[in-house]
Amino acid sequence: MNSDNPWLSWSYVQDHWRELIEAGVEHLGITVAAIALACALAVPLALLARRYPSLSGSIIGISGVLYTIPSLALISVLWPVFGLSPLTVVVALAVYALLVMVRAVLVGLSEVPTGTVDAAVGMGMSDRELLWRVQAPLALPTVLAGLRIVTVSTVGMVTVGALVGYGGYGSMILAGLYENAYHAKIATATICVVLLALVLDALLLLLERQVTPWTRGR
Amino acid sequence: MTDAPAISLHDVAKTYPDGTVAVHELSFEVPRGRIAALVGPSGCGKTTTMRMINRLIEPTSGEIRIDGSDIMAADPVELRRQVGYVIQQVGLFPHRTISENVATVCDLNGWDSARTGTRVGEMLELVGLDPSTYGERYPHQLSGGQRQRVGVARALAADPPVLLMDEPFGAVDPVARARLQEQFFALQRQLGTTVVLVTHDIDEAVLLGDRLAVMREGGFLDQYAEPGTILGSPATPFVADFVGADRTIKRLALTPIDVSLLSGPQDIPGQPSVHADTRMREALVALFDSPTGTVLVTRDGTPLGTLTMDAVHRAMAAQEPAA
Repeated sequence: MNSDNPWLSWSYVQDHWRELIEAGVEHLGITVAAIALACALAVPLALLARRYPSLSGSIIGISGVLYTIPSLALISVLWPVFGLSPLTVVVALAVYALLVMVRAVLVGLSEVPTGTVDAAVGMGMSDRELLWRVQAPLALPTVLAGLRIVTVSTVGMVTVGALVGYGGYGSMILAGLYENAYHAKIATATICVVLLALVLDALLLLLERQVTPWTRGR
Repeated sequence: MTDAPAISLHDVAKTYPDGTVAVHELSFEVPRGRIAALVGPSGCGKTTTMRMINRLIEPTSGEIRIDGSDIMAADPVELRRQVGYVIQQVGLFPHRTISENVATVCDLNGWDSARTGTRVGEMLELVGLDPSTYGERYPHQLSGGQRQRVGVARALAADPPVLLMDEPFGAVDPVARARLQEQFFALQRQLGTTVVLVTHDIDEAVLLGDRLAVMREGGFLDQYAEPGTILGSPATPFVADFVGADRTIKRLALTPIDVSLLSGPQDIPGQPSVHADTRMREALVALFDSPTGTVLVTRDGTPLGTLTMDAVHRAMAAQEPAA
């Protein structure tokens, strides 16, 4: 039985590489857009929480509640708003990424040693200079660690977007299921998801080393 | 303006909104180019007092002037750029190289990179760190003592007239501390910076301070005077207790040999000799070690007189200010 419907098939890859690339581009595009949107929201929210510490609890609380919504339900809710478009998937995934990123930025800022902050203020840094010259760069390793977690989990979750027709490799997996469980299609698309996650994670690790030279050799 | 003390505090107090009094009304002046050591046990308000001078803490009442100008009239950020600041944890920026750390205030003041680069090199050499060896390193690649010296270099880079230091030598081992204290004192005398130093260590205060402010729990300034006066005639029982039972010995370390109290030079075989610039404590050690019970005091090889135990005793008694 496996002989006519194998899980792993190199000839499948050779015959369908164009489809695999197209799905990969969509998968990557949705991932990057969702994370970019999440970061664009998380940074100002975290800075707001930094300025008004009393808000910090509500911001983390609300992000936490959003995190508990099942992805299937969230996409169903967003569907009528954004239609059958990639935007539905992007917004849904951004909601999940948001909590992790807000937390990462807040934790990163709070982990800056108090002595360092005291010295910076005592030497005459304004609040803005303190943030951009001291707190932001020192928070970077924690923020980038959060970004790596978010990236890997988002790459996996993009597949749910198959529900509205924009799931990257997820759409291929779903199609493979409908095509009488086309094993090679399902397995190849799944492997591509894992590879994409690993490659993005490695790239982010490389970026982290590049932008935080002071953490080397500790 | 030039006659004004570099730093003056007048009836300065700090009360927190919950009613806690951190510092009771206190006044003192630090003469230009001198070191004032704020000393006392934890909870005495010495750090709070120091932090009010660069407005990291705002006083509740009273007046603080630097070079005659009321600090409350200045913008806090601008004020702090004119006042050097060194803390116990050093607070070097871990993500910046040693050179970048030292350049901090120069950069904030908008110096051009050539001027900043020259100054950073000068400052590192001044604190005994070779710029080409250490400049491009990160703080975690240095020892505690080296980091402490970078902290001092960073605080002094923009040539502030006033320097505030909070337990600056607290985090290093005793041997390194003694060397750092000595180097810092020489550097301070060379630059003529006015310093307010916070320490819980009375020996450090006596060693470095031109003036001592002895503070007591609850934010009270019990005595503000020169170290010899504090050790010779403590104003309150607390001060006497705080400076320690060995305060007379400590005072000997500050007292020069009084040549007028010496008996005529006697040539006794085997007696040791000390230079006239020696402090009494060192002369006393020589006296204890002397097989003859006498020490010859000389200046540039010329005998000035003979020191005996009796002379030491009379010298200390003469120093004791009238009660």
